[in-house]
Amino acid sequence: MTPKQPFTFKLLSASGIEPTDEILEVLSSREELMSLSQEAHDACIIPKDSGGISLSERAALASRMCNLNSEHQLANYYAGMIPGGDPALQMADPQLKMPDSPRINCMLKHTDLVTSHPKDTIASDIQNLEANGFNTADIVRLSELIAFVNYTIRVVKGVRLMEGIL
Amino acid sequence: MINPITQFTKVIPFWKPRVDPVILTSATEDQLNAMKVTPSDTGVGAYVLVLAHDPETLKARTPLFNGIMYSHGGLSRHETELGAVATSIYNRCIYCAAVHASRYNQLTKTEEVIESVFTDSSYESLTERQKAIFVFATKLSSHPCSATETEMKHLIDSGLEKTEILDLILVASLFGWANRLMHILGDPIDTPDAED
Repeated sequence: MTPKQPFTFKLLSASGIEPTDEILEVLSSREELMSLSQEAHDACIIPKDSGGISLSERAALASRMCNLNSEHQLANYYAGMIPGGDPALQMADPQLKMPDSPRINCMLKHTDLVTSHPKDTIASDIQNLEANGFNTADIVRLSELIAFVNYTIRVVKGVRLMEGIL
Repeated sequence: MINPITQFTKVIPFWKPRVDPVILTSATEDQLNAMKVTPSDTGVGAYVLVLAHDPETLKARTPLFNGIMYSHGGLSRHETELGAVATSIYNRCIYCAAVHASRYNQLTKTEEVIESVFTDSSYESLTERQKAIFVFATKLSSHPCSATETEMKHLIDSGLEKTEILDLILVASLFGWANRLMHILGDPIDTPDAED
């Protein structure tokens, strides 16, 4: 028996999808896109220049968005990237009360809104981030992070559904 | 005073960013590299200049976007556009919906499908295959996600191959990303921005 190939887009394994021969064969037709998805992941979650949003905060927000989408295994994967005892870990759980920090509070509200109801986002939501100390580059970084994780969650859900019919 | 467009249209709007774009002449090496432009380039859009604030992500995102939209061998170009339209309608991203609706119309030389999905949620004038594509992309994009084996089976029963289904998953997911940039970071407007 040959050992199973891992997924190029590691988030698929992290979400609990089995790399069966059937699913790997379908994904192999889009190998380059899987590899680019992983590159985008690294740029959003573990960038070289994290700007004003720390790596722990990025992992915590990603985990939170996965929890909001009932992708708990993937949420745990992201939470596992946060060093033990780091207060950012609290942000991963949407059930927990928002912290007192206005900056974090604003960041969490924005993340929840854009994840769950993107169509309801309005100009004042961006002004609110600015009022809470986010500079332009950090607003764009936060937007890419939220948008990318929402992309990933749907790739995971779609591939899992496809696995069910192969 | 900004007056954003709020109704779906197949006329491509202008896009007014809610944050300041990178100024091309003072862009860093990394930003220029991510945009694949030189400082003397004219016609770099406001959207790319906004995204250049995060060059690492932009650099990976551009080839991924193009790969999903234009790769050969899977879902046809016009059906890829239909998936993009479905997600953009669900997320109410007027700008993305307009761009991809207009591409769909150009590619198919028809207008009925787009008119139908813009105005009528029963999609009566769509073929079974178009309906399967549109409904799957919409449900995969929804929050909470409501795509199930029923919609997946509908795709198979409508004749989609596995590689076409993968491409549909990718394009619907991609617009879950694109809409969360375009609709969040700017407004669709019907006249060019006077400040540009």
